[in-house]
Amino acid sequence: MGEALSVTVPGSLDGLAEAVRAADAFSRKAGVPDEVRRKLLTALDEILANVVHHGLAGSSGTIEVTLRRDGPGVVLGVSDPAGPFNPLLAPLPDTSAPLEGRRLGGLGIALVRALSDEVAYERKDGRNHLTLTWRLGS
Amino acid sequence: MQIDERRERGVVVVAPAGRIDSTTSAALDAHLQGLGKAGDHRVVVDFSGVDYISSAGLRVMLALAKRTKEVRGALALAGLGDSVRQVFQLAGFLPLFTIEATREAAIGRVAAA
Repeated sequence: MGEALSVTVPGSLDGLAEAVRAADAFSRKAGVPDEVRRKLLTALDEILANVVHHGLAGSSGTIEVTLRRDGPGVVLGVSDPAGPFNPLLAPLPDTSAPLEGRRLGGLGIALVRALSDEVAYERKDGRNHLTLTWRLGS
Repeated sequence: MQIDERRERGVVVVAPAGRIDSTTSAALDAHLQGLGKAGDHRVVVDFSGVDYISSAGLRVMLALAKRTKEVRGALALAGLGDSVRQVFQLAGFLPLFTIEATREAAIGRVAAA
């Protein structure tokens, strides 16, 4: 019902921070429950950090972030111009190793998948499109 | 990121506030590394003012745990809200840390270690 956010930011850490701040402000204004707001901001940080550090890796490009209240849910969209990367196919890290042997590669993507109710990936027009959905309490 | 620091019973209590994510975790990391360089190896991190933590923040906590173990220091965490606790749990981090509900209890654990 007109409750939507759309921001385009540079593919840099500054751009990441700007997108997270905008999504935080929108979520609070739109009355997204804190529990869901925290999950979606964590997921957004993971996705954007992945794009900035690995996808773009220093090359320029803009990232589009959309967020909307959609009936009984919240839908977060992220699109980036980096090479094809489908996080749904990424390997999950070992989360049971002892302290000394613990490696965190892939943990961010695992968190994105675990913290959202639905994740969809699409490669379209030379961009990665990720859509995450949270269903609000029934 | 705002980071509060106090000392009590020989323990340094570090309380970051707000989000611990890709853009803020470096400040927390620098703060915690500074403690180590100053010889402060008995540390409590109080999460009660933390909105949420992402894997960038987990990296900082893992590094702190490894450094603390190397120098035979002591570390405990306190005040994990539901969101922070869930991320620790999903990452398999809960068994790696001493975690207490309150700051007082965490200080007690580190002071007694």
